[in-house]
Amino acid sequence: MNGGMKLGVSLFSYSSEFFMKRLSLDEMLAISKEADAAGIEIVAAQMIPGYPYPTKTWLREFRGKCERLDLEPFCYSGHLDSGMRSDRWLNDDEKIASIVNDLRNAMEMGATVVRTQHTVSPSLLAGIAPWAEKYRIKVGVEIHPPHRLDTPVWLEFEKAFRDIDSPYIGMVLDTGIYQEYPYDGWIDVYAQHGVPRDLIAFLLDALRRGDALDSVQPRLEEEKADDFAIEMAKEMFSLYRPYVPDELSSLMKYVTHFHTKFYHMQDGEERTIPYREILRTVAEAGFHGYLISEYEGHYCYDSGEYPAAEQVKEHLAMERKLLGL
Amino acid sequence: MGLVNNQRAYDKYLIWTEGYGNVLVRGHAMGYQFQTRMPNYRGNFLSCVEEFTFTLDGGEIPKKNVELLLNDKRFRLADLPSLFMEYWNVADCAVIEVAKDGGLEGRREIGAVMRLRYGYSGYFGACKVVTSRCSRILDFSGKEGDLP
Repeated sequence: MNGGMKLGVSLFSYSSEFFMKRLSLDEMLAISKEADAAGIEIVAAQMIPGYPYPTKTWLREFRGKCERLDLEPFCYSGHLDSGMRSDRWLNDDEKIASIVNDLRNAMEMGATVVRTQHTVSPSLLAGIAPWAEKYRIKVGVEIHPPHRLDTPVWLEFEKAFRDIDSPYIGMVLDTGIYQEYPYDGWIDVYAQHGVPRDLIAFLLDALRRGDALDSVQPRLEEEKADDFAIEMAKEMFSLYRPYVPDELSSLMKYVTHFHTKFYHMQDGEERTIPYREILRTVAEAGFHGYLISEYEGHYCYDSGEYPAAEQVKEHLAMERKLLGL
Repeated sequence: MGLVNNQRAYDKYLIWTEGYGNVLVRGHAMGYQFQTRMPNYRGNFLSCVEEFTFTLDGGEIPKKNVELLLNDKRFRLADLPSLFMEYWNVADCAVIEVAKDGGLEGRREIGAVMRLRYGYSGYFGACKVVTSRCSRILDFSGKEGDLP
């Protein structure tokens, strides 16, 4: 049932190590290989020198580094900075030029997928399809929290995928859209900023019951909650909710790959996102392709207390176990 | 947006504590320099830096005295909003050079505030704008000619 699935790693997982120059690119690739990854995704705006116009030499060398380790340079992860200018949003021509630049870079590094973002509007996908087809590189629009599949713009994206119906236009599904509860590191950041632990416990209980933000407002007012507490409540009810499975099977032909997001592996499990249920749904929907592990706990655990290399290794091992790979 | 999703993990690196000192011209200190990092997991276009202000021992450093050195170029802070083709790679330090006759001596507190627009983030029609703050004590004693 799961024979068509492959596991990979986004180098974004090693963000802290990269920022602090604790790991080189070669080392990040090597530890991804040690975690038994088959493919790699790289966030261009983060790790590619010379971005957005890197040299062909650099991109080809990256491809060579991957190939020497028998890693597939699977995905060039692009950003669509539609708000990059101070005076106005990018217009449609500029957005398409940005995607074509991504395609050009992706081709040189041997990637078969470009990840782009929701800032490319659904109406623009028809104009991007001929470029993706010429380059023979898939363009996947990433769905990412706070969006969910039932967010209005995603209903439009889904319609555009079906209307265009090109094997080169689709979506990247970040499993963060199914995150249920915040992890300890996230909670601790707010606690360190003075949000009382009993208030946090109250908010978590409400979240677990599936209550809405409105339901906790009286308590926030009663406690004269400060800005951090209010922010925590807003974030919590925007970014997390009890898992509701989506019907994925009809969408699966448009999914270029999954970002299997995770924040904190403990004892072989990720407690923020219900992977057992999600991977069962993905497998039953007949998905063939990459699950790209994306560790994001580094925002809260940036002092090396949970080394990204170990977290990544543990996450891939969990996926293999759940999928019977 | 929130503390965590603002990626505040990087705020503390806004002022990078390596490679700072006085700027000598023919043996005379004409100013001082220190390094800054993009407080974000990724690089950004300079046009996304909506505001970049600095303090010395709590007092504001006049913008007109400050230049930002990056990509082998030199920029005035007032020009940043127009620099949408100039990319600050996250692995690179930008040098802040402050004109100050005589430079600095001893331990001084340097503060920085950056308001950064996330150009990709217009989730509900507006870009997320994040304000990062950082303050560091730097000892300028004998710190000359040790610049990047």
